[in-house]
Amino acid sequence: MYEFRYRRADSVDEAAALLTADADAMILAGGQTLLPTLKLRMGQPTQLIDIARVAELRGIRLDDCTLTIGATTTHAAVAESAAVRRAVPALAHLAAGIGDPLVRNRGTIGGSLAYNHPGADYPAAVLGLDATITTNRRQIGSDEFLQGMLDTALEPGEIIVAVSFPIPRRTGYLKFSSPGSGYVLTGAFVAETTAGVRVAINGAAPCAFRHADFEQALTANFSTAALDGINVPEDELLEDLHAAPDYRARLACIAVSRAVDQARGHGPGAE
Amino acid sequence: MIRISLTVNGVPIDAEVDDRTLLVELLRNTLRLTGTHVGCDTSACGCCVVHLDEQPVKSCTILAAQADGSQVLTIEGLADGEQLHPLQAAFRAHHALQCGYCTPGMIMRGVDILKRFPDADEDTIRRELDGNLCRCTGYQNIVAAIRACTSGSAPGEES
Amino acid sequence: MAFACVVRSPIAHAKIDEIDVTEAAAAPGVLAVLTGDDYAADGLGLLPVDGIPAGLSGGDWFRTPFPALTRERALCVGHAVALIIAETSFQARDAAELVAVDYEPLPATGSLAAALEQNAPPVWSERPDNVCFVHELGDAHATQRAVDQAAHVITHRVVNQRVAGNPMEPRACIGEYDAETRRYHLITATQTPHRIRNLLAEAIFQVPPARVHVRAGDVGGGFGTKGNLYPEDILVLWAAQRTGRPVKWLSDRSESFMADFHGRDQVADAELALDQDGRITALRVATYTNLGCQVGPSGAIPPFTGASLLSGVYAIPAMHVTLRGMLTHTATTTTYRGAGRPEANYLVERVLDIAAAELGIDPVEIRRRNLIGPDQMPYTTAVGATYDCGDFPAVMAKALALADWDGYTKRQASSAAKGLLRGRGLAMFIETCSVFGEEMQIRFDADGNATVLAGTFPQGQGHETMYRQMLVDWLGLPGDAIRVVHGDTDVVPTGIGTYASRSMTVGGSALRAAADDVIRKARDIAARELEVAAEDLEFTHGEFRVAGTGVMMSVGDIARLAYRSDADTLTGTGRYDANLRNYPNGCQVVEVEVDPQTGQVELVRHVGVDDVGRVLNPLLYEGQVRGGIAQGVGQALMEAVIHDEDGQLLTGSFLDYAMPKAYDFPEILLDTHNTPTATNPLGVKGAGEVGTVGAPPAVMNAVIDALSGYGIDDLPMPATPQKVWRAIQRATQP
Repeated sequence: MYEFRYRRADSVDEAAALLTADADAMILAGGQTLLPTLKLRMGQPTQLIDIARVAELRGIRLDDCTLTIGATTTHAAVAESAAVRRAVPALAHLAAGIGDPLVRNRGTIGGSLAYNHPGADYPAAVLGLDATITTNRRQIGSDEFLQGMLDTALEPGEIIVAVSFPIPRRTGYLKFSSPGSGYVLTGAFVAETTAGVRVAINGAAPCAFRHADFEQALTANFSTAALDGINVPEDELLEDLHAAPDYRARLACIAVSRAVDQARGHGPGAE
Repeated sequence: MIRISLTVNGVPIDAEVDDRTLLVELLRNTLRLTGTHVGCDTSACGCCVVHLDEQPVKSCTILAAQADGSQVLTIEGLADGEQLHPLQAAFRAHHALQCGYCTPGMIMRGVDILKRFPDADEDTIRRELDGNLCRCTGYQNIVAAIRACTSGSAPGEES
Repeated sequence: MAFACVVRSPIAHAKIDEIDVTEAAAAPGVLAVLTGDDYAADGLGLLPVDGIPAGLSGGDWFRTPFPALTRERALCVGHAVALIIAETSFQARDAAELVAVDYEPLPATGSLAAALEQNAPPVWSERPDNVCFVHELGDAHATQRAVDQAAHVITHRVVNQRVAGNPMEPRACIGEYDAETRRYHLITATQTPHRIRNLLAEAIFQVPPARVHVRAGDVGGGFGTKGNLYPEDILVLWAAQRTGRPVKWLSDRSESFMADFHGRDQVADAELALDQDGRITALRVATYTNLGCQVGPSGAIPPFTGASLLSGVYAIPAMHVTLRGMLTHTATTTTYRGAGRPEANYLVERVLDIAAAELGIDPVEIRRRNLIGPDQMPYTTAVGATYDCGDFPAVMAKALALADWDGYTKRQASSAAKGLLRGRGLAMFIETCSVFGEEMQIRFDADGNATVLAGTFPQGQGHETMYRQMLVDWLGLPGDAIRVVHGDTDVVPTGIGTYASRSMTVGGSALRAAADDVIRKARDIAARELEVAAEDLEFTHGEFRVAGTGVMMSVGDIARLAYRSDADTLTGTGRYDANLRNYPNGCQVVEVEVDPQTGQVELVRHVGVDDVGRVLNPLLYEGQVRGGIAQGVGQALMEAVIHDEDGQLLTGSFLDYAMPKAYDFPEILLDTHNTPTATNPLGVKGAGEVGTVGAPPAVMNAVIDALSGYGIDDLPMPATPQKVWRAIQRATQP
């Protein structure tokens, strides 16, 4: 790694002030994405500001309509939370499959969303459930928050504080993982809400995206039969050693179908 | 440089290290606890697994500074004097190690698997080892050793 | 301690116009920056090559110059161009980025496939066709006649892809130079300390071997990749001599993908001639092995050794093999577990399955018809290997029974009910082991404790346990009175190392000879002490007993007695030279489930039956087989070192190079059907590599069987989900 200065922030305000004062400072939460990147010398921050112990960033809260998860909540904590399992089972299932068990003990929802790597899991949930990202300055809707590959609506000095998920009727998440890295190759988060069905596909494209045809079909008929004949366009899908665009497009359809099965109570991961 | 204080295997430690120092580097280079190993640089292999505040983590993906104020347990801290931890004894009995490089990470992970899944079956154990690579054994005896320590198996049960 | 960092080429082929080290040399903490020019100026030698026989049919081979740092050209991604030595490893890495190398990119032959095309850029001007060596085995005319007269000729190209050995411990070394004694001291993660010592002395520093000391502690896996002299071993010693400081080099995993010698990387064109009953009448093979840009110390061994095994376990009357070592702008290759035998067996077993499908013969039956029978032993194949013993039909039958081959249709139906395609495959295999000789010494101390000085050197094979067990059995010593010393060329006088599945055979046989030496000497001492004739002493379970009485002395007693007069009285030395190879063989049977929607392959059943002569320690033996199977499965299903057409390494870390994990395997069932070999006193055949040799064809035959319903008859390794899916797409879309 290149040289940097490590600092610990005791509050969100303190972290934000440090960020604003130094454009090359970066937030360190779990570090499970940031530290590997720095170890490969891809990135040269001047400072790392550790927010892992900021109390206001932790915790899971559940009320009648909303599940709110603090930004530094680990994937393991989300996976094991009785509240998450009850309210949004596919979210617990998603968290339980991020990386590996050791990584899940450190990686955080805030870190995952702030980085918005195409192979990340959480962006699909955020988009699929129309979550709201609360930062130290404002609230940002899911469609606006995820802007592109490794790109979010966060402005300099802006820190994710919590993520709020409206509680849906039924959910399902299924992904295919890239061999080696374990990143999402292609996955789908399906949520049946009072306002219709949302379908978010991750891994396949530079950024997680919704699919209107799937959403319309499933809103009319929440079953795998409704998916027949609907395809995912290949253009703009990612290409690498492990999956070309046509394969990702096909996997996306399969992921949506299996996520629907899961939401309906069948198949792997179903409650 | 940064000053840090933490407890390692029950012993309070004070050290001054480069801010970039990883927890595994602190353990190996500063504290000479060389039982924790480095097998990769992309957080894949799990040879570096230790317990941080009772949770198994990859010490190559944590800065020593992040562990300031924490409790760390390494493989060196597992045995009770001359008395091996039951999982260490099981690894020996089941020939669950060959070169031994992945073994400390496997055992530290295994101890946690047993805590969280006291009745783990073979399938669960294999899945829970997702973050640990071994190149020598083909995993079968590692799984057997962990399984032998689950509450479902009788003492001395051979695979 | 000072720290070294190697500056490596990011380009597969480039002319190096200039290397500007001024900024790097002035960086904080830097003690020295060394280049290929400095290496040449200091008169250091080139890495030598073993294993190329004299009298190649294609004429002399081209000796690729292999200095530890390259000078005028970079010939592969990762080629070592310069060396930084600094006070800390952080400083060494920081300074490495300041070395300004002026690369002039040139067209590259970035893979073996590229080398086989017309007009591939030459790596060396001396070999415009990139052929380093050519050799032929067998009888070209007889083979041609058989092919001409055959009822069927199956033609097939087989690709055995490049893989990385990836022991979990990356390589590391520490070099020291003692100016007073003028001795070089190297600590390195190696499988072959004495070999490294000899090569450093003779080829590199050109000093007497006594001036070089090599030692290794615990080595975290080797699998052949650590059985070589590497440039970094040389560089740390040279750097220590230049700076007067000990110098440490640690490889991280990404660097190891560039700096370690890789494995496999062979293309083979096969023609199998059969009569109308499916009996093989001839096999003609042309193999092309990618040696890399520079031939490594062991790089030539796989193609030659593999060629000698191309008859497999089958009676093939006529064979003709042409083997070629090819040069490309990729990293050097070496002997990775199996070293040529996985390539050979993969070819034979895949071609047989293809022949079975084409001729409409069951894959078990076509093998049965062609197996060499136990009554035909010893059998000399058409490529000149003499198999001394083995019962191939019995091994196959046992494997089929263990795998419940006959109960398959039930399992296939239950897979189908889940929407999955089940496939099954089997592969026979034979391989060859045990090279060179070994010397072992047994010494005793005043308390009668024994020390074994061993020239072999394990990286997890459990020699301490095995040698201890042997001395407990042969000399009746208590287990805790025996220790094994190895891995230090100053302490162990001579040795070869551990690779090629040689340690139990060669090391064990040498230890047997050493134990016999101890017993001979002990007998004489006991006879004098007990005042009887030596012949009147019976020796059993470590005790010399006066026949017909209760009077006895144990080896331990004798050792303690002997020590009082002369510490060396009872020292036993034994030597064994493996003039005859042994031939472990076996059969693996595999079942897989394929998800036709996604192409994902799951291994659901894996059985192996081996003939390893005798099993000395079942736990250690099974550990070796399962570990080898895991690596073979890795090659079949997920592993590959991949370069793009410019020679760029695309799989440079564990992010892109998939390694098998625990959940990739079912329980692996093993059994043996041993025919002890008379080629060594212990009757053993080497067990270290059998798993890796047998697994890839068994797995791929199963995968292709699962896909046979689509008319798919071949699929190259690794059978990744995308590859399987694409094969299904091609077969099902018009």
